[in-house]
Parts: sequence; structure tokens; C-alpha cells
Amino acid sequence: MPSEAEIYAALTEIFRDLFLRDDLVLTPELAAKDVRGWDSFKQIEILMACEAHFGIHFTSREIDGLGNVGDLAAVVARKSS
Amino acid sequence: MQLSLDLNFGVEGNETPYLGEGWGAAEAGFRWCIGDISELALPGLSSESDWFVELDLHPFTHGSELPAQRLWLLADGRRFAAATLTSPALLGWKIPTEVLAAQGRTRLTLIHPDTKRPVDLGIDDHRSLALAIRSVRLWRGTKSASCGWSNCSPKPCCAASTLEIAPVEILTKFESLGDNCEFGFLQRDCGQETLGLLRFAYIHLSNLIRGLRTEFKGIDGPGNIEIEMDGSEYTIREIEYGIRYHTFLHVGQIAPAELLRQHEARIKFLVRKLLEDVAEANKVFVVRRNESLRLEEVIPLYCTLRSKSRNTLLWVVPAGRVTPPGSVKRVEPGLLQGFLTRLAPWENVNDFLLEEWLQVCKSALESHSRFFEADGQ
Repeated sequence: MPSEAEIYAALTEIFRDLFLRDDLVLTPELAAKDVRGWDSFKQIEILMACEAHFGIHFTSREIDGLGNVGDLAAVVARKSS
Repeated sequence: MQLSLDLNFGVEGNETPYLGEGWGAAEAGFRWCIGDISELALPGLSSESDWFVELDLHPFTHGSELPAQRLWLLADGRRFAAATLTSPALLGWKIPTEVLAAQGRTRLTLIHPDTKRPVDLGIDDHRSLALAIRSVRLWRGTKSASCGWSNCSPKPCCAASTLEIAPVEILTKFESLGDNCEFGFLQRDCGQETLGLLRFAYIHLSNLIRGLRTEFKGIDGPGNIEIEMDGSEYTIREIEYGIRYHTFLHVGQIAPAELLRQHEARIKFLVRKLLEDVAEANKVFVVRRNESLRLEEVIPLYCTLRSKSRNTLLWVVPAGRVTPPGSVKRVEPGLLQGFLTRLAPWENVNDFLLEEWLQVCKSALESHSRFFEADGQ
């Protein structure tokens, strides 16, 4: 089971790859409205990358319940345990 | 809702034991209705259930000389439905309990008075043709019951909902089933960026129904997705089910091969999500169409969704004299009709009536929740 730090490190790598921004710093509160280009298309890419990286599948309810990076990290942590 | 009888017509079909008078020989995937009347002997339909009959029809038409075929449907000699067909259609009707015979098999009669011999139109065929039938399905539903919401009744329309939920929360519970982007943009306007296969996509209703029934079999097949151009913008065309949508990406912003790779993966991901939403009755599904959308066109979709789970379908149409804008009417358990002054015009899907939509969605959500509770007891 990855630690919280490991999850955030992996998420940071995923976000930086997808947004092509090396300066992106993830915090639990960070949400789509805070990042230029984080629309529903990008959200799908983020989720698919997380599924591939962590070897998990998000359920529809989990996807709909995601409001920010903290929510995403929590679901990843729960599903990776 | 259960599929009680699934008759596929044609040389590979299973319809022969049910045929009465008025049918042509089996052909590849269909059989013609011949003459003025065609009959089917269906199993006895118990009045303890609600029954819906669905027909996949292809009318015999020939330009202005024969622009349409009329069809009347009778159960045990009592008429319960009528349609005029100008093009192929998948249509469904509820069979009223009162037209069903008390016992024995149910005789379904198709009256098609516009039958015509192709030879009279200069085509070398002497048969008297009306409609080609591809399939007939019978769906059995739970007997209609009140959803338990005091404001909700088939007639008159539901009163305004008093649900106290923020728009962004309300719209999380809804999922567009395509046609155009009106509802998707409305969700965005309220800050709701829910993910959905058809949120910003067009799909023909019959293909949507086929997709839901087959779990979109073949959608991830090789070569099933193509790029088309709308000016300098890339658009996506999914071939098997005819799904089309904008990418909002233009030439020079992404390599076509990379775009294809991304959208093959996205479609697969979103199909999985849609099927899960349908299986779990997670959402109120929204169907709307700028052209008129009649109940008999919606019934096959309704039956399909209800056969998967206790889904609610919200069918949104322009308001009438007795159906005020913003109101919702319960047509069947899990089938709601919502009324707006108008839908957003096709050429400007951002021109939606936000307040009326929100009122419709609030009422629909309340009805869905109440019905879900009542149904789940």
C-alpha cells in the first residue's frame, strides 16, 4: 500500500505530464477551477493515468464524488490498500 | 422491467410460430407485412403487469407517390396505438390493460391501409407491401404505482419542487443521453463538470438503444474511431454507433494519431462509466431532441433502461397549454416528462433556459428519489 507521500508524488508526476507544467504543485485543496485546462476531457486523462499507474479501477460513484486532489488521493489510497 | 418475448424476423428469425395472416416470406433480417392486415399470436398477457410492445419497422415508401405508411395496432381486436411512418423507426407502446383479453393468447393486429404493389410504381414486384418488420419485443413492467411524492401524479403536472439543493449538486445526478450539447453546457454553467460519454455528443436514438442493449459491443474495435474536420477543428466519429463530438482541438495543436489514441481510450473509459451508471441507477438520464420526440419513440429507451435497473428517464419537450414550463409529469414509473418553453436552438446550444431546466431537474430528482425509496422498500 503506497503512503500518502508516495501517492502525492505519483499524482504530481501524472499531473505535470498531462498539463505539461513542471511547476505544478499538488495540494489537497487543488481543484479544476485552479488549473488552466483542467476540463472534463483532462479529468478523464487524469483518471485513466491513475488507473494505469496504481492498477485500480474507479467506480462511477467515486468519479462523480471527486471534487479536488485530496478526494482523488483518498480514493487512490483506499483502493490501493 | 423484463423482456418477455424477443422475436427476430427473417430467415434466421424465430417469429414463425407466432405468425397469423398477412405476412410475406422470410427475407434477410425482416419479413414484409402483406395486404391490409397482419396478425401475430402472442402469449397471454396477464393484466397483473404492465405490457409494452416494441416494433422495429421499415415502411414501404416511394417518393411523393407513397410518402408514408399508416399503422394501427390492435390487441384482441381493440385499437390502442397508431403511427405514421415515413422512415425506419423503433417504436413502442404501452398496451392498456383494458384491451387485453381475460385469458388465452393475445392477438396483435397490425392494420396498414396504405399497402401498395411496387409494380404499380414501376418496380418489378407484384406483392402488396406495407411495412417490413425486423423485430417485435414484448416488455413486462411492474404495475404502475404512485411514487409516493404528493406532488407527483400523471395528471395534472407536478407542482414545483421545494427541494433545497444547490444547482451544482442537483446536476450531478443527471446524465445526458446525447443529441446535442445543451444539457452538458447547462451543467458546465452551474459548475458541474460530470463525466459522460454522451454529454457533448450526438447519437441517434436507435443506436443509443442498441448500444445499451449490447453494452456497446464493438465500440473498442480496431478502426472504429475516425477523425473528421469541422473547419480547422478535429471532430470524432465513432462508427459502430454513430457517436459524433467536437474535440475543441485544431490542426497544429495535436497530432492526429495521438488524438485517435486518446479518444479510443476515452470512449472505452466513458462507456464503462455509462454502463455502470445504468446498472446502478445512479443518475436521472436525460433525453431531448430538437425535432419532435414522441412517446412511442421514447418507450424503447425507457424499457431498455428499466430492464437494467430502477432507472429514471427524463424526457424533455416544449411545454404545452396544460403543461407549464418548468413542470414535470410522471408518465410511467421511472419515466418523467419535463416541460420547457423551448429547447436551445441547434445552432446555439448555449442559449438554454437555465431556470426552467433547474426547476425541471429539481422536480425530476425529487420524483426519482421518492420512487426509488418506494420501489426499494
